[in-house]
Amino acid sequence: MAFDTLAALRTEFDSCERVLFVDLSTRTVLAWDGAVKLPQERLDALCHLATATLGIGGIGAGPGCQQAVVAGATGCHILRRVAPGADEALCCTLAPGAAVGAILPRMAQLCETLSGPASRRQA
Amino acid sequence: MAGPAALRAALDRAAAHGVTRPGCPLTGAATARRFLCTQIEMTRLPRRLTFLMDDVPRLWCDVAGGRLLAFGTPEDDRTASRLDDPEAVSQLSEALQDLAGRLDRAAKGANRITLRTAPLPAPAPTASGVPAERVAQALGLSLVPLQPEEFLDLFLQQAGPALRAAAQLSEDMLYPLTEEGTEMEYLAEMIETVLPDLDTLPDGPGLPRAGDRLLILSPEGADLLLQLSCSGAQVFALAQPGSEMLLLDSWHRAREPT
Repeated sequence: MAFDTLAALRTEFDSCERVLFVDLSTRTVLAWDGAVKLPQERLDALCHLATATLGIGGIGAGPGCQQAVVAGATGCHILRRVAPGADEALCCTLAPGAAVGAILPRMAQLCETLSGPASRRQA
Repeated sequence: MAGPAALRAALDRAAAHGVTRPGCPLTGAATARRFLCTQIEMTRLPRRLTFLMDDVPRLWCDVAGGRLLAFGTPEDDRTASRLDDPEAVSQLSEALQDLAGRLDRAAKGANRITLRTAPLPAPAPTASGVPAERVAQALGLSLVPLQPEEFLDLFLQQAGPALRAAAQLSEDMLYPLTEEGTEMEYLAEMIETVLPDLDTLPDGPGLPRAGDRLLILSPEGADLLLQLSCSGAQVFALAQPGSEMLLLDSWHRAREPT
């Protein structure tokens, strides 16, 4: 998992404030990139948010949700498993009014790359 | 390092926010407003947040528990507004407009905003301060109409084409907002399934339990389930897969002032 991959996704969209790659099973932030430096507890809170929302089960075929979008006053978070049922997930924090329509397919594309066998060997 | 006091201050700063100052490029007053609100929201321990524009201190905010206690400009501390004082809170709107004005003036022409933090003594037990959500609202980042019903109607109208079923949950009772049928029954089942999990979601800056929010869950091979909270009202809906953009757009539009 290259940090450059996350940085490339963030810098591609002006409204993307930070990108995290997390392990939901161990609630660990594996890598992240952002314009603003954040204390570890803040990153842990985002990881916890991903674990809690993507862990909501019983509403689809899989054990949890594939994707969750949380929007609030100061922006929105997109949380997405790299593959159905996978323990790894991408989390993007976006500013209000972000072009979510453009970011969602880009995140899906990156998730496919991250869940591929080549990526697993690199991790 | 000048001495033990300076070392202690440096360690306190490092404990609060790390050794590198948080900051971001400024592309206008809106960025500065968002940066300020986010920093207030994120600050739990009592801290004085000093906002620097191009490395020049321009505005400070005393914050604790994600709430704004006071603010002022470094040049003239006598004009500081204390929001932990009940009398001052009665003129809250005026004070927050003052904050917005000071921030916008400071951000004008600047290229970068950075943050310096310093520890504060614990605020008085009576100090209430203003929650970050209220500050965000005053700074134009949270424009929810006063009447939640009006907001919900507008949202349902905008998102209508993507919604299969919608219902309002109030005191354990479900009130259908769309036609009743098999999809409404399915929605009721889904709500029953997810409610225990939703109740245990973490309360934090990313997902404020008390604030207005939109949560869209995309399960594998099923419709989207969305939960919308606004001023205490709670709406659940089933929506077509792939309609996240329309739902978010509708939510943003419904929050715009009418």
